[in-house]
Amino acid sequence: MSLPKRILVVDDDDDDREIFLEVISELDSTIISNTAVNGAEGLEKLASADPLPGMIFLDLNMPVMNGPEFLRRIKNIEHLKNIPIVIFSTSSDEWAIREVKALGVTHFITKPDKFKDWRTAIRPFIT
Amino acid sequence: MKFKGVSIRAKLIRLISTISAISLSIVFAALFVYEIVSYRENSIREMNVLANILAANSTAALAFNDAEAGHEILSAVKSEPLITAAILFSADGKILTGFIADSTETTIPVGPADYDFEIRAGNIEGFVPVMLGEKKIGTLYIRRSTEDTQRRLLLYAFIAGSVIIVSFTLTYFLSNRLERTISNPLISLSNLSRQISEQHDYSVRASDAADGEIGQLNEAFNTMLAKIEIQNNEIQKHNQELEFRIEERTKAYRQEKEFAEVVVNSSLVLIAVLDPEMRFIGYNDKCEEEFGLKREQVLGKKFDEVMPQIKGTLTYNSLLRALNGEYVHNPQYRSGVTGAFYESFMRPLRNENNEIYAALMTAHNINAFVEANAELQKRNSDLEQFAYVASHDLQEPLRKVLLFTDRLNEELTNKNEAVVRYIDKIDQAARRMSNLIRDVLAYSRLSQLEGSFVATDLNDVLAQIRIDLELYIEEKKATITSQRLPVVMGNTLQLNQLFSNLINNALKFSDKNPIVEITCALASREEVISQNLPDVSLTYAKIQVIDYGVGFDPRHSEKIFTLFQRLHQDKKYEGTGIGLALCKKIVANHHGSIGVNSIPGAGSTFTIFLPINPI
Repeated sequence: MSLPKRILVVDDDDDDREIFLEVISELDSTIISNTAVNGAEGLEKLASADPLPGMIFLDLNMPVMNGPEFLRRIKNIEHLKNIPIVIFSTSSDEWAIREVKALGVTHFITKPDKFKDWRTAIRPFIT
Repeated sequence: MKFKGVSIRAKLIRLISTISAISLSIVFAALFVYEIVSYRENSIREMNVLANILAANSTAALAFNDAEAGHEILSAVKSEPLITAAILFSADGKILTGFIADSTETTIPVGPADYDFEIRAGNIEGFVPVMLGEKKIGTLYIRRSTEDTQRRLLLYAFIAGSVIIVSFTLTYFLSNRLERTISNPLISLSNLSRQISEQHDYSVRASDAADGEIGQLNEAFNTMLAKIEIQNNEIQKHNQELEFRIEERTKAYRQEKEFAEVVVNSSLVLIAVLDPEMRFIGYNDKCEEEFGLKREQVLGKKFDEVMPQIKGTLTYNSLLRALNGEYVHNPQYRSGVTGAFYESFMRPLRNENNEIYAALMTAHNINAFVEANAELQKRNSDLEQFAYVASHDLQEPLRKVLLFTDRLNEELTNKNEAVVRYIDKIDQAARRMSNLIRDVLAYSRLSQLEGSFVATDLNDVLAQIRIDLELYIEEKKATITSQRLPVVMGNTLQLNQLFSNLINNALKFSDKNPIVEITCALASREEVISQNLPDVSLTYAKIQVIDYGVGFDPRHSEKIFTLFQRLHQDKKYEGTGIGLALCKKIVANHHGSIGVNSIPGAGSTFTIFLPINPI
């Protein structure tokens, strides 16, 4: 996987976004991270993004527009559908995980409860 | 003589009378003939004598041709009224003198033909010669009427007739009396027979006064009667016994019938019986209540005739199947007739020749149950949904507590012993809560994730668990042995969780080098029935997970499967109290059962019954 210099993090949880960005900058400070609080904002960010992010980290359980819906949308948009997606969820999102697997997503991370586990989980995708 | 249909008495009288009449007639006829013959001979001889005397006396008159003298001689016989004519002829054939009683008579015999007498036209007449010495000097003709003879014969006939009549009458009366000695015993025997045949009284006897053949007959008759009486008494005794028994049976039968009717009509279950033409032959009170039709309205009528909407329904088709020999159980369906929910059971009824003569239907209204069940299911589902959502939402803040405790731990420098201990406490508590939530989530998800059942090889499931628990098994220095396990229809993930939980427990509740044995056998029929399994017709595998760990008080064998039930206070055996409740739910999902036997300090044996994949 080519190293993404730009990433988009779509997650409604402030704490998770904060930790996420912290881990990313710790692992590679050159990465430019963009964030959105739900699927709808994620689509907006993508619409105005130039250049496009090389990878999207996506939470599933979000208000306004959830992860699966966001996925369905971008899979129907020609220039977006090939951006690699990493699902970033809690273990209780099993239903949604099934759904997005059906949409062809193959990368999943369960949100850990130890900070060092976050590093371990994210590292493979950005280094 | 007509004898047929005539009484023996009349027969005898007729016989005797006829015989005596015939014999008397023959006697009289013979006498009559003899009388006629002897009279004829006598008359002719008398006439001959009389004529010869007259001829001798007339010799002088003829010799002297003296008519007067001749006339005088003849006058002697003229006074005799029976002499109707006497004539003297001279030798030349001329009449010398004579008389004829009847003056109108014109035929005077002329010339003597011969000298003999004969009977002609009611008279005896004849000629005799008048002789003088050796010389014939004339002829005498004399005629005598036979009127007296005729009178005499008439009288004779009259007497004979009278005698016959009198003797006939006497014979009749005598025979009438005599025949009684014969016919009376016979008649009384005959009357006795009639009386016996009419009154069936075999105790009577024929009189023994008679002797001879009649007496023998009476005796034989009496012997026969005595035998018949004995036999009759026996028969009557048997009959009475039989009647008594029949009466007893009838009574018992009536009681049984009444008992059965009361039971059937007191039933809270609908009971109906239909013959092979689908006509009602049985219909209890509960049916009347549910269908709103009286027994009199349906008995003998076809089901679809009294309830047209029944045709083609499950009930109707099930009854047809029952009439074909099937046992049909319909656990729950809505009736096309009443609109209510029922559970029903239909079976064939067979006679002693094993032929189906009817179908029995029993059904009960489960409307209230179905409604309550639906309500319960909805509530349960709501509750599970709530548990799911709640535990999901609880998990998130907890993850944050753990995460930020971890961060705090990383960031803090110069931690004293107390701080390290407090942070550790926070982490442990949060982790425990996280486990709890995870298990509650798993439990509530069992209902939500009812995926399709597939043929699952339990040997594969066990192999996967060995891999998952590899580290734990190694750490515990445990030995897990297993017999060959069956293939069952089930949800692989759930079955994995079931055995995983049981093996985990077995390892957890054993102190040193635990040994876990997994055995498998086909469940016996008795076991299947005693386990109260949902479908006793299936084949079940009996799988046991045996450990030799700490065990528990067997009083808790039931309680242990309820949610949040923990038996051990020891921190070492700490758990969430959900694992076995989860196992129970999984086994129930798979239409099986689970139970446990335990001896404190000796170990526990968990026994699972699962239906075996029929393929």
